[in-house]
Amino acid sequence: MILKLSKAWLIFWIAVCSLFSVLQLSLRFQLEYALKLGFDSYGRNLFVLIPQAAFKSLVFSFAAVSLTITGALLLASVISLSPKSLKQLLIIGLNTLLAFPSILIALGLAALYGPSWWTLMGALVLGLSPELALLFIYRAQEVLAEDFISAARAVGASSFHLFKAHLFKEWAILIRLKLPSLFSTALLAEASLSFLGLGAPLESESWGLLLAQSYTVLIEAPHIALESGIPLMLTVFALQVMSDTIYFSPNGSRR
Amino acid sequence: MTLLKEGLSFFIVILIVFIACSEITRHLPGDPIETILQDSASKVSSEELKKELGLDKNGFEFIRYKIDSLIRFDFGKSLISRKNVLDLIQTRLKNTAHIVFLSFILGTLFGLLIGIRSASKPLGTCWKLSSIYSALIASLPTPWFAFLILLTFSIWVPLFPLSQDWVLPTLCLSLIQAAFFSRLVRDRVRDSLTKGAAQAARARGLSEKTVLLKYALIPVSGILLGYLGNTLGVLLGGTFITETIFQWPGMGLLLVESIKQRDYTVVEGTLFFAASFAWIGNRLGLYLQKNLTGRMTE
Repeated sequence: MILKLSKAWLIFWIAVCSLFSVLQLSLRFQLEYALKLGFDSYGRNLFVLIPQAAFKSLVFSFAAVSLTITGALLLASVISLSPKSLKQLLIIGLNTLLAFPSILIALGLAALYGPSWWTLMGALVLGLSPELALLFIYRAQEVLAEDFISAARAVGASSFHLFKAHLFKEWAILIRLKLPSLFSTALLAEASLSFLGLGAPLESESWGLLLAQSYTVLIEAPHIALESGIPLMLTVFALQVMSDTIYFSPNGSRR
Repeated sequence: MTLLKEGLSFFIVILIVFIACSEITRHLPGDPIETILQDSASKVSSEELKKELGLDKNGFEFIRYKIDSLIRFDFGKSLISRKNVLDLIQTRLKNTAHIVFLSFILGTLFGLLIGIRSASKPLGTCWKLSSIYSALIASLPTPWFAFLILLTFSIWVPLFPLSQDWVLPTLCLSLIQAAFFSRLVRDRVRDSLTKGAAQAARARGLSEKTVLLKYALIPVSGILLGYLGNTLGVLLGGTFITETIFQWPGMGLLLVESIKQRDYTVVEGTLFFAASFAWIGNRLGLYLQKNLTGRMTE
């Protein structure tokens, strides 16, 4: 039931955000619905502004996740095909990088280049790729240790053929498992970093910038904070529910 | 020998982090000195600044200068206030440690309680409530969760001041930590309860409390302590959002403010400390997990 509601919310919200961003809504429509959610501190209609900001955050998160998965796949492929000694060294390097929270990398990049969508993208990709790449590498090591792989190698199968026939399939399963949680992490990271003023540029709109704006008028206009945060919370919750459903079976044990 | 190897790898990583943080000023867009003087509106002359930041050195000389600075714990002076960066960080670090340790203890206790209670009755009320609690906390953006706490306890029900008070940031951090920790405790204890030792203990007639604590919790305490070690490091190094919202004068707020003011020396120093704490916490967590897991199972 909760899974169905989560999927329904995601489809509904993405449709609303896309519609409000693409269509030029008439002034009459805006005035008719203006009083429903109120205005932000710049006098913009929240009923229209929140879906538009959400659309930008969703598109950005989708792009960040796609780049992260691509980067992780490339890294994993290179490391899996490397000689043993170099592979160990690279895995140690990735584990060392994982010890540092991605927000620190984001702050370092923001200090260097200032807030921008590219800084945010770089921070997310650098923060999320190592963990995903390590997951791919360990899965590759498990698969490549199987008997049928040794048999395939004995009859002359090339590394590329083994990758194509077995590894990519396993990696595709891992991507399917991790996709909802990666997307929710990207959304939360964008909201948090833009809130600090170190993510999306101030002149654009995003969920994080809405939250940052609402902080300055929290006492006078708490409705901005509440109304901008609820759709974000519901979206991330829906993604978490989908992620949990993939990971856990109905009796509570891991699949 | 292992201790020597660990110590050496620890020093090398800290050194790499220190040099990486110092590289921020070297890699600023354009001429670093011009950029710094423009961005931070510092009154220091360009020659003095160049010498202070080590930008008059290159290659091996720069690395030697940085190793020397690290050994002397010299992070330079703030570009804006001209105060010693280490003194600034020390003052703020005490405040961060105050809320971090309190929230760590509260979050651990609360998480342990919920986790064990949920694990003892799978799919019961406590299990379902703890699932909803951890899912909700995981989906709440930290800024928004902090807003809710601020609205509830400072505006709607004015129990605490809006800023510069330790209670609300501690509450925020402990609730977040408890959510994730309770989930881990619940899953691990549940797995442990399905193993032979716990079932044999039940068959021998031991009380459920003894089975839960001695045969379910203790065998997995290595993993739990490993997670806690890692969490402590991350908390010490990264309470930026919580401190910003509650205006708690800690190290996180110092880093965010110095990035906005383009006070690069303070940024480098604070980033170094934050990264070092995260690294130390991670190593501590791995050490506890590796060394305690086997012993506890025995």
